[in-house]
Amino acid sequence: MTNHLADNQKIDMERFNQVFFEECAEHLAEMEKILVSLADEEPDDEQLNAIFRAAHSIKGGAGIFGFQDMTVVTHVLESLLDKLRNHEIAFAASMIDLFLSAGDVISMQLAGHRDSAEVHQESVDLIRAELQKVIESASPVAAVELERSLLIEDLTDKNLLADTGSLNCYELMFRPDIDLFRRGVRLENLFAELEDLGSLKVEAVVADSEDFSSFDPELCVTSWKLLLKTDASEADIRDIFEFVAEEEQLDVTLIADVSDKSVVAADAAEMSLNPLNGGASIPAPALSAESVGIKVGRRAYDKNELAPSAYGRRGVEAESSIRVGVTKVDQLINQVGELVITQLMVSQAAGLLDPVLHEGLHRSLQQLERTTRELQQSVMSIRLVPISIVFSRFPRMVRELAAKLGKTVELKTVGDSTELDKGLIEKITDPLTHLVRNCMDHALEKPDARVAAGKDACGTITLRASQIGGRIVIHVIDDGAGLNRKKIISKALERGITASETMSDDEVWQLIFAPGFSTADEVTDISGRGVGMDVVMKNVQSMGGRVHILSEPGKGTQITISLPLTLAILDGLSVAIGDEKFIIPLNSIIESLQPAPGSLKTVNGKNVVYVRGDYIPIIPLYQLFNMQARITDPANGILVLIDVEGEKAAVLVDALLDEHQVVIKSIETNYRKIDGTAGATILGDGRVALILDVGSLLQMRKNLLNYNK
Amino acid sequence: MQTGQEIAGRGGTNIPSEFLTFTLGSEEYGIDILKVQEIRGYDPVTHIANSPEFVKGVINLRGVIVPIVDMRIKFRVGEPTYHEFTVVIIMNVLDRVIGMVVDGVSDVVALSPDQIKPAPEMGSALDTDYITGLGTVNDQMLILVDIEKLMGSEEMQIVDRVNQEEK
Repeated sequence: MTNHLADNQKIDMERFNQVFFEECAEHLAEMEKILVSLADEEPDDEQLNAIFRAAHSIKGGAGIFGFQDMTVVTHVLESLLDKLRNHEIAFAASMIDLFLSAGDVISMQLAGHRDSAEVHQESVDLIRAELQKVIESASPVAAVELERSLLIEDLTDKNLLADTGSLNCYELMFRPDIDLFRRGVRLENLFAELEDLGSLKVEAVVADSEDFSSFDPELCVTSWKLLLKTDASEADIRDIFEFVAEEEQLDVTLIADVSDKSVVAADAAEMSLNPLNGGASIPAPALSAESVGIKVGRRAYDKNELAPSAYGRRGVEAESSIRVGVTKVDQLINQVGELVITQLMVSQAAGLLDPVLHEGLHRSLQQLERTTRELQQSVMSIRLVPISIVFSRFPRMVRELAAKLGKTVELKTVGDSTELDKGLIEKITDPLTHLVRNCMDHALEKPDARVAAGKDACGTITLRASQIGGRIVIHVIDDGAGLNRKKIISKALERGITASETMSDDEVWQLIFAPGFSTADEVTDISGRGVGMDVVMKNVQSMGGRVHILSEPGKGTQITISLPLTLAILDGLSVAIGDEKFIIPLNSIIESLQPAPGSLKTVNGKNVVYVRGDYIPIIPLYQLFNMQARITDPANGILVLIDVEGEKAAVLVDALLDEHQVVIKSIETNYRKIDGTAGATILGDGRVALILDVGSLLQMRKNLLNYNK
Repeated sequence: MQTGQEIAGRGGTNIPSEFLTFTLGSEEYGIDILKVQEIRGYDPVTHIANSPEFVKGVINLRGVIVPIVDMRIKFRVGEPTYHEFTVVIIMNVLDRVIGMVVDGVSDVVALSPDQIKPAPEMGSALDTDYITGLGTVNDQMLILVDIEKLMGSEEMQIVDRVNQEEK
């Protein structure tokens, strides 16, 4: 039974850890984003506070979840940031790099806990020492303080000591009865009230006689030693305790008039010697003491911020998102899809009824239809995330690469808020990284070369995302040297790829997508090994996307990636063959036509159709799929012209039915792959239609021809 | 009720299992009830190109694409006709949802291990490999099928094999 309990707790902890990991990663990303956006400028208070908050949250979380190693670096980082924030240390541009590397170390530690990745302890120690060095070099006092607890930092915080004119320092000894918590007293509220009177230092004194085996977490076995610096009278303080404590439970002693800071500092230091976690063997009271400590601590921070706006923003952030598993969202999408189909079926059935007699029903059904459609759109939009998630990782990469390569580069991003499917976001990151690296390494020239070419010494890379129709278009634009036509052709010939001087620019640019192709004269650790563009092409194609290159010598290059809005939905044309319906993806269709009698020819007994100067082979779908079609003679049917990577074909179908968006469903979940199809979808009548994979159709046709030979 | 039986049988190894029985031609078969998701009528299917004859096609089962196999065609028993009384057993096997057309569903029976006899080599429609044993219920023989093994087999061609020799 106890075993069972332990298991449960373990599982729970894992779940909480997961939340911490995610939050920590977000904080790190936020921190990095701000740091990079600074571009060596001195951060303003708002930004410093934001960085500080991130570091602080990571430290707090790491402490609570028991990742002590992570608190080491964050603590030093936090201390330094705090000094900066309070203008005790002057900002230096070098700090940004230091903070960035500190962030790296923390994410390395994070990965260590999350994925059991390797952690280089040396780099942890190194960065810690470096941070420490900055703190010490700027302020010798600070270094001593560093080792003290967070609370003392608050106390010595100059804001709290700012006006010490007529303050009294009270020591309060609060020994509550053991039923305190059961009476529903919230200590944090109590302490907050006290804090309103002045500055407060809280220390928990844990009863050491308590036996762990008989320990009851609902009982309060802790007493509290409070150090309050205020201009309020003893009576005011007792007022606050009025409903909480009996008179004999609270001792109030006036220690001293605080007229100089050293007294408080000394007191605070003395208190810090008295270990806060003295009762660590009894976890619950120690924890509650700690959490109160954090609470009070945070209050002090918020006072430092320009309060209302800072509060307001944090509140909004907390409310604006919730975490939901992707599987849950997918399930929701599935169910809404079902709802849409059911709604269509009901509408079709109602369509048979007399519109005059059933006017109310028809009106309600229209309402239902509209609501369902809106619901479907909202649900689909859950999976959409802004592309800024991908873009935001580039500023830092560009910054570092530029430093490494001795180039000055400015990165512009346009259309950060363009949204696309989460699945696509994950897959587009690597190709984009390749492209930006390529730009940095090959395309952009060194500053002197740029000046010599009459260009600004600072190169520009622009990432632009936009939605055009049902597709997301991402441009990667640089103002570098452009692609070198001659070099590409000669390199291609070297590698045994067919190429010639007479090829069009477009065709030449396509050569760089060949596996292993590189025009770089030397291989660097950034790029040039020729494993790049072919991977880019493959990844983009696997998402149903296309890559297009425009380049002009001396002016620059523009690489365009166009992606479908989502992996889950496809624009398709439904066609009929015999009794079955098929969906042809709209993005591969050029046109549909009814062949003119003279345009049909045969080559080697195979049908081709003559369209605007091209002889295009006809794919008899009924033959490929071994099924009964109404029309077997191309002259009577309809030809759908498709284009697969430049290869054209005409699919013979009985009739065109409709054009619509379909939800892609996998057949392989419950069955195996079916040749010539890319999945299935459910039509308005609830029946299944197969989605044609035009690429594999062409292959099937070739196989069929070979077989017939 | 099931738990009651289980507790009663816990004394020995005699824990009864429950089987869904169905008919194919003149023979009575049984499959583990825990593999059965639901039983439904036969809906029109979407045919799948170049698939074996007994794979009738796929249907939309509440948003999930489910393949339908007709055991009557596969084992050449009974008459493959489709009308309002045609029964499809939807099963959860091999992490998949698969529909199976049979002549009719009869009953759910509980059989304890000592009621199940090993199957002799014999001429039933099903290969002996997929038969776990023979049970007797009310003097009628019940052929117990390892449905998971059968559906995963090469000859059903439902699961993609890495090295598919056929075809």
